[in-house]
Amino acid sequence: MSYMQPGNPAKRLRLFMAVVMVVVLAFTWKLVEFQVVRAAEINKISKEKRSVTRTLPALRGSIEDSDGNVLARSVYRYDINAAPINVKPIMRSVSGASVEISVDQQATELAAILDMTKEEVMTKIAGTSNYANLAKNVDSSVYSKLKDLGIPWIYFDQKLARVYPSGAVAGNLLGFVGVDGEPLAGIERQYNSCLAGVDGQETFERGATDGIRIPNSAVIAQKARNGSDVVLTIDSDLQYYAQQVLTNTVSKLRADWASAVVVEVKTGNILAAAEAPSVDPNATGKSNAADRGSRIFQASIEPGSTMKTVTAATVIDQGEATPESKIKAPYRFHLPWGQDITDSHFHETQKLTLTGVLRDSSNTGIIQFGARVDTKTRFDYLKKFGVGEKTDVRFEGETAGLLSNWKDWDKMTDKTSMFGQGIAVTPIQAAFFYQAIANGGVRLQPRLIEGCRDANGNVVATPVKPGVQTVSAASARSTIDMLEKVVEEGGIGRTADVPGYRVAGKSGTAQIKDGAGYGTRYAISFIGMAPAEDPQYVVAVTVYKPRTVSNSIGATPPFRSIMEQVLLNYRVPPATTKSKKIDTEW
Amino acid sequence: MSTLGVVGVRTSSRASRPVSVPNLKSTKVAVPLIVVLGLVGIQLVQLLIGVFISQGAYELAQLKAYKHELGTTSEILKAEVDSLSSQQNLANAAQGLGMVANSNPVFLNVGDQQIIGKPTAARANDSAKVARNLVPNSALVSTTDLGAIKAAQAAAKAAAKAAAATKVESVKTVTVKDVANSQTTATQVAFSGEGLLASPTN
Repeated sequence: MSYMQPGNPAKRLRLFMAVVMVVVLAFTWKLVEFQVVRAAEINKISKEKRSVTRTLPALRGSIEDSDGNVLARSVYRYDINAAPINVKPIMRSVSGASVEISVDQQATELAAILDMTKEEVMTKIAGTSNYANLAKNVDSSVYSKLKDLGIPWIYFDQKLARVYPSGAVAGNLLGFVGVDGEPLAGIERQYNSCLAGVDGQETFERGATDGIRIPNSAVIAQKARNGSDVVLTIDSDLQYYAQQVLTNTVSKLRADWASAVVVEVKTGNILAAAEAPSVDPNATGKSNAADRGSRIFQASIEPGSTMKTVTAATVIDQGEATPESKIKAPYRFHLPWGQDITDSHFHETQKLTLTGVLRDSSNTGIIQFGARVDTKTRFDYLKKFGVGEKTDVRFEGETAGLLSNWKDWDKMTDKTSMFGQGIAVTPIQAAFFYQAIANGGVRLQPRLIEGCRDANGNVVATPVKPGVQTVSAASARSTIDMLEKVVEEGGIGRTADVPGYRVAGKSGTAQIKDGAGYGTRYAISFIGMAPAEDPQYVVAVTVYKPRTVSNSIGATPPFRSIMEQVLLNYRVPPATTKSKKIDTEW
Repeated sequence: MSTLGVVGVRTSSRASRPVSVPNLKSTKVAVPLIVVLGLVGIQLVQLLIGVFISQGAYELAQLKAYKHELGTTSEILKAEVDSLSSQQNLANAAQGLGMVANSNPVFLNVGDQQIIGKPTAARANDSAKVARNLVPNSALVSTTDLGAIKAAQAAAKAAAKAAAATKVESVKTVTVKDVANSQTTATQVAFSGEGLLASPTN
């Protein structure tokens, strides 16, 4: 029989202490490893798990008209997604009682809001995937209704989009942005540097279970800087009115397109730049690609007889004629080299003054007056009136028109340029010929953009350049007096009259190039100013290739309608004086 | 725990007075106790602050969600206001209510009491003028409820008619029953539909 030998307590204690020391050392070693050696690495992993980096989207600036009406602004839109793997019946509190809502019922509710059929919804949410898109770009109203359903397997991706509250009003000027927010056309693209903001970035830590942000953990790396606003010179109500009139005109005349420009004479501000067909930037796909730009700046056409005003002003300014200077205007004018120039309709030879030539829009008359000024001088005047140069608006895709060097003109172009053939201008250039005449001969640059306004309301205004003196103030006044007779006595001009007001203007019926020659359809126009005693506004209407009329009689009704609205809109009192008496025949 | 007694020293020249001396044993225990209690206190305060801050974080999250909700409501209302105030909606509503624009302005010069312009009726059949909207706007989310306006107009007319009938009836009644006091009675009861006093001489 053996007995347990009494131990050695000291030895056991030392052994125990050794074990404890080993354990302590092991823990210490791990502690040092975690806290010192791998501290940075572990911290990083931990932080990565908790931290979230989020883009702070910057809002794109608005585009406003001259009265502060918003024509384009940023809004939130939502993509509606589902997680099919989580689709199941849900419990909903109805009148205090918990009611089970079947998947079928949920699909019905979703379909009603998303304007889909229940079957379509059911097809999309079938399967075991984590993602299925139900709808894209829905507005806040739809989003709110969906959210109220409380369906947990539906989630929303918020994103910024662009909305144009007035639809196609000024749509051709505004342009539009793509689905990715990139500006694709018009002012949206041209003034992107003003409109675009700079996205910010924010990093913060959040709890692993509830996703709530850990207090004081937010680190904003970069604040978002919202875009500034672009303020236009356009009056959106007038713009709408002009677009209404033009749409009606295009429909009635079965024209390809029509444009109307309203200019404030003393400032060069474009109050309306209307076109038809127009484009609704909210739904650009509904319009033809050719109708999405602005023909007012982008279309270059031969102006026709509206150019006779420039020729007449040139002749008067050169002292070669007065409004009552006389010529004989035949129907057909034989040129020395064998070609003929005729008037638009047959007539016996007329004894006309320069004013009469404008009244009757006589080609044979104007070339006789124009020939009194040499070609180079006439070319120089055309340059001063802005023919062949882009305006300072520098609209996207703007064209300079066509004005070749006078040395390159053939003999026929030398003549036809006097009545607006052989050169080409944009509707905005044509409008500013008349702005110059209306403004004492000083041609200003068109202004479409008032300026770029930052968040503090500071506006960086579009610079106003000094004007170009095209003709003397006296010559300009004489030209206006002549143009008044066009509206008072002209066969077509009379239809442009605005009752109660003194209106001065000129019609144009231009041939359009078609291959090597001219086609059978025309570009008709009427450009005028009012009140003629002290012109404040110019309205320029162009109708391209109308089918139901072949002369400018189709352009005067929209001119008159728009001019009436302009005078009413800006509270211009009716005339209290009469036009100057000028003989038109002798 | 025992404490040291108070040691008194009495001199012959003055009365003896108790003098306290530090209790070394008590100090040895109290200092660590204070430190421990202090640390515990600090931990408690820290814990409470942590709880409050955490609570604040949840409140902040709730408020942010509320802000988002308000932002959504604001967007919905803004879209409605945009639609109702758009030129397209106004033009359609005006046309629906039979309104025609008059392009013949007439100005009154207050200074010399002159009338500038020739008053003429609006031309409903102006060929160049268009009342119906022709400019598309796919951003329209709501339009003016013409039915409601017309119903309100009809109701107002009916009310006015009823009031007029009541007025005539009162006058008749007064005429028959109380000719002597007809003026006074008629004035008291006759009201137009607009709530304004109608002429008692009807």
